[in-house]
Amino acid sequence: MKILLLVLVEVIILLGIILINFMFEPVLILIFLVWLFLIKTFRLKFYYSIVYGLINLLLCPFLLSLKLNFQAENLANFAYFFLLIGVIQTLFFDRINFKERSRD
Amino acid sequence: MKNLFQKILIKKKVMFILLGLITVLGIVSPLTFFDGNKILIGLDVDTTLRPSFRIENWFYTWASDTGFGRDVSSRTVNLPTQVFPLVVLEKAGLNLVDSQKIFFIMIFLLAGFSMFFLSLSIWEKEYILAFFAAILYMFNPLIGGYWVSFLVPAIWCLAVSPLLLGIFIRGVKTGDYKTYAIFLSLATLLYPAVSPPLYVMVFFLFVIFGGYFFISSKNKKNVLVFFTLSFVLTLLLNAWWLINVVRMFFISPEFLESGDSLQRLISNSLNASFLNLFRFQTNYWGFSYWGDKVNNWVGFLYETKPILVFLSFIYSFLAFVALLLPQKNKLIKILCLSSLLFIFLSKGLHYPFEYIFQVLMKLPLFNMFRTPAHKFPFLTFFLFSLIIGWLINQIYFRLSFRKKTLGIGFLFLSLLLFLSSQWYFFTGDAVQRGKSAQPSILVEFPKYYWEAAGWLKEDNSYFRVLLLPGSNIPTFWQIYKWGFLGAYCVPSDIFEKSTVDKLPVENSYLVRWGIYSILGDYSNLPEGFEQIRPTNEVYKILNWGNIKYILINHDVDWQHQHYGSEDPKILENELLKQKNIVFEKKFDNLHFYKVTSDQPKIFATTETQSVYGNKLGINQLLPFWNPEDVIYVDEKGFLNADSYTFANIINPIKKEELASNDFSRAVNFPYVRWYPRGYIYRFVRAKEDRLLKEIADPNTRGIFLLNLAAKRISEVEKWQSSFNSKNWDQESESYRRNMLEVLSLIENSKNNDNFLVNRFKIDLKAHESKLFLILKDNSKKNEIISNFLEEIEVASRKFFDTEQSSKINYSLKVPEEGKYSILFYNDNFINSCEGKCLGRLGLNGDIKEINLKVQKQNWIDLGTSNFKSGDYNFVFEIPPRKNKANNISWQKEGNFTTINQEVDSPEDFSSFSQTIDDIYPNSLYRIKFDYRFDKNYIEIFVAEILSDGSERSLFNKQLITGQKGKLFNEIIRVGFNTKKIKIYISYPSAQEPKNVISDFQIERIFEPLIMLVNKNKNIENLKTPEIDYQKINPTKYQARIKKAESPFVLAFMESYSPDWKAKINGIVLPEGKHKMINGYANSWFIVPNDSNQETEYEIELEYIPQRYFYLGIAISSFFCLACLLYLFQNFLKKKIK
Repeated sequence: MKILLLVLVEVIILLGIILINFMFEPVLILIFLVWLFLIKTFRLKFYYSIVYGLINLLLCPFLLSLKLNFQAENLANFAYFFLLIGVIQTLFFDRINFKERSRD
Repeated sequence: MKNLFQKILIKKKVMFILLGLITVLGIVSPLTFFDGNKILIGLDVDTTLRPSFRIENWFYTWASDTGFGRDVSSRTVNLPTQVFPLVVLEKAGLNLVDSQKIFFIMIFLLAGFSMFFLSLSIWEKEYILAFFAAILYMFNPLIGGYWVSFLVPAIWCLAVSPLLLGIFIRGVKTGDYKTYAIFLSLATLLYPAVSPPLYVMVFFLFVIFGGYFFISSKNKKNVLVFFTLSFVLTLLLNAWWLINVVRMFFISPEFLESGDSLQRLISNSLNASFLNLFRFQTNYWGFSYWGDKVNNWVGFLYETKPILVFLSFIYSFLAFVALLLPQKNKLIKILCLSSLLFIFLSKGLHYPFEYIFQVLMKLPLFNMFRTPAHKFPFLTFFLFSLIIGWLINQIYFRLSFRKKTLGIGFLFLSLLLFLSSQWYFFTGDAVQRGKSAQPSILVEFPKYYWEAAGWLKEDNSYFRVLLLPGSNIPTFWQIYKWGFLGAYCVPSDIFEKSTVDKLPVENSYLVRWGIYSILGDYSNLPEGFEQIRPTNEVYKILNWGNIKYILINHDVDWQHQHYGSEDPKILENELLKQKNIVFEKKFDNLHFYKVTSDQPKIFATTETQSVYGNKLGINQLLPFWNPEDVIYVDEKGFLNADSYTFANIINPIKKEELASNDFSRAVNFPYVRWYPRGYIYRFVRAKEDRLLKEIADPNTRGIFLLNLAAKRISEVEKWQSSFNSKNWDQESESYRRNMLEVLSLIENSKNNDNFLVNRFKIDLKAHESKLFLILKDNSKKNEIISNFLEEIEVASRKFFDTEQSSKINYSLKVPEEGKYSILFYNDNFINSCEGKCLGRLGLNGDIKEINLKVQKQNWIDLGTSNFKSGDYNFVFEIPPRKNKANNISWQKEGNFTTINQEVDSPEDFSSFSQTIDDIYPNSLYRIKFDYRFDKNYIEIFVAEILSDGSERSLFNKQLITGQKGKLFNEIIRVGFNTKKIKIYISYPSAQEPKNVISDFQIERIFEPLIMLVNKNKNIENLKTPEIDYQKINPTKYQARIKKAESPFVLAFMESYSPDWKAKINGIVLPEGKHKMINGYANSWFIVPNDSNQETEYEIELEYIPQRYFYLGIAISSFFCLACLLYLFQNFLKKKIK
């Protein structure tokens, strides 16, 4: 169920970006509210957000190579906010399961 | 000792190998920039050509080497880093090419070693980490962008930043606060940033790392003491330049807050999307075209080659992969968060959440980050270098744990990946080498420049050399056939004399543009100086500027990039027509002309005049003046860049052009945020309505309505692709309503000359051009445009038709009460009026007939009047003019879409032309006609026919068509050599022009100048004293005055500054006696009482900020010595122990 929902979110983002050639801030906010809801509900660890950010970032050069510049711009926006959520999570919220083991 | 060395070598073997690798790469890369014996000079860097000459003048806070003299307090900061090393290398016998090679190697090694040092300061003994951080920091897209722009001082600052931070971290970690505070403050002497944001950005880094170590430190109080001690010592050791810079900030805060427009911020943010910021492709990257060439070849490859597109993402990708490793590090997390924050700040006004940056821009001093995409990425990459270094290190240890060769292989591949992604650092393409539209910055000066320099140096007197042709506007670049010198006037270094070029570095509009407007090409001058007529008395202005030689340089690539400046051959012809200017000497392509009546730098005079009026008239007044006159001019009215709003009819037209240019350049301006179909948009409109209700004043309301209308156009521009018919209706209705209300406001005001009419006209034209560009290829939407604008345009016509048809308004500000001659420039009225009256001039109700009989050199003297200080309004009634156009006599030209583009099918487009004879050169003409055409578009092309019969393009525009009939109304200026103009029209139909165009009119627009001149004759029988002077240094002059029996004016031909003080017998003359003359220079009005009735005495002229520099040097030297003594004492103590 959890994996299905996560995949669904990415599919919605990709379809939204590729099919609806349109950039709109409230949609961005809405998707991130949904994402935060999923984090809270399924207790998603920070790496879900980071991986999502990195997947979106990794897709950008492919879109650019296909001359889908506008879509790449849109995807990079999503990548940025997934990464931001992930970093905030790892800094301030995910301290339970990971023991800090700095090489220092 | 030998054993100890061997032990260290073995123990630190890895470190030395890695440092060796950094050294090799740091040497190889900059060497590829060079080609034979060519040096690197270009773009915005004031490159030193003659280090020892430069260092002689570098200690002074006033420089007269370029232009008319300027304050250079801030440039002394570059001394230890940018000049001193080159001087040392020169003294060691190296030529400039070899010195530059060593200097650039030093920058690369400094970047690498300091990042290596910082990494080891944070993560001790992690050499692999430090190595990769160093390599990434030396060769990355950000620094690559800086090299492409050749911003060497900025690169130097980036190179030193890790060193400062490393010392700070070592200090916190070791606890030896005093020693490290001294090290840190001494290291700041290597940080030569003139630009304030560079200091602030390093401060951000200190906050991030300092904050982290402060929180993790057990002894927080000591950390705070360390921080404070470092800060105070840094201030004291940098006092030698800091005092004057701080002083400058208080005197002219615009030094930091120089306001760039919102358009600039928007255009700067256009490329700064998250996508491009993740790729580091915003800082001088990307590509745009200049003519048919790409602006930045390397940037172009990164945009177009798929492999490079992929490689450009590796840094961001790897930086955040670091967070996924099971090995956690809190500092890495903080660095990731900080880098995301800096990416957000780099974005500026780019979507999304751009309004956060808008709020930040309102913070005091935040305006220094007005080009965020060029500044904040430095911080991002700084942090990325450390994060990626850490990641590579972690992965290496994990792989080596399984198999050592696996780890080493991984390191090798990583290094290969990073270096290959920045390949241009090793092919020499990191600097401009001519592959882009910008010319190569590899330069080899021809030998005859040095020969010319030797000849000039034989003349020991103080004078300036005028360089012609000037650099082109708007770039102000010096482009020669043998190389490219960027924005700075490098020949001043070679000649060792003051040189004057077009790039203004001081307030010298009157002299500088006066000269260029007479000798140069009128089309290449700033706002408001085009209409000056040729005169043969340019020597008077050259005298005012202390210019003795004019260099006509045939090496200048004057047509480069289509901007162009002046043809040297035409310039020489112009010079030969001039009085008191003769050809002097030729050095190959350098032709020197001499001004035979040159004025000394310091002289005494009794001839003074005061002039208030239109600055455009300066050259027309030359017949009234003598070279020895000094002219007091109304600064606000006559000289200041803002003065174009002050008195002439050209301004509305110029403003109009300016506005339309700005509109076409800035995307989505005025700025719009919310999509018209969206829910939030309703609130936006509700807010607009509420604000509108609150505005009662007609002018303010009108401007607000025009802004709202412009917003609708921006919305169309931004979201046109997703508009449905309902959106179009909504937008057009709202636009129509706003514009019609403005018209009703104009009508109700019953004052058709008012500001709102001009503003309305400017805006309407801008909207039309903008919409045309958006939708010209879409015939369906083209119909919508017609509806959008046609009704407005027809309704507004009655206001435009009356504009300038009968009278011109002037407004003049008279600052001082007195008796003034009113002068009015003839401007060929005799011919144009066909022997009838010239018109009448009304002054606050007092009508003066303009009488042709009283004339002096085309100036009509309307007599003298007493004027009190205050604002005056002149109204000139223009006589009737003749329509030069003909509605019928159109000649068939062929089938073209544009003047040079033949169409395939003859039915597609028809082109017709009409030639207008009897054109007055350098004049304004209005072209006006109605057109009715419902297909596609009409193109109009206007060419001027020069005296040699050749045609030159003046104007070209595609017109939006309309069903009900539309008005074309444009003003053009013809050149000095124009005899005729030829108007072409082209449209996709076989119809005759008379069926498409009606009421075709071409009329001349008059622009007579008006001046108030007050010849100072209050004091009679004045005698000019004898004067002899010598230059002590650039900030101090001594003059010996003899036979000073009556009052006189002491003129000093350096740029005016209130900080120049005159002292007689050690007593400073009061500031009230110090006035600006000739538009730029200093003067003191001296009476016998000032010298206690002595007739022979000495006057000392001194630039006061130099004293602060000496004070700063004393403070810095004292504390520097104290710091070194402390370190030495510490060293001895440790040795004794």
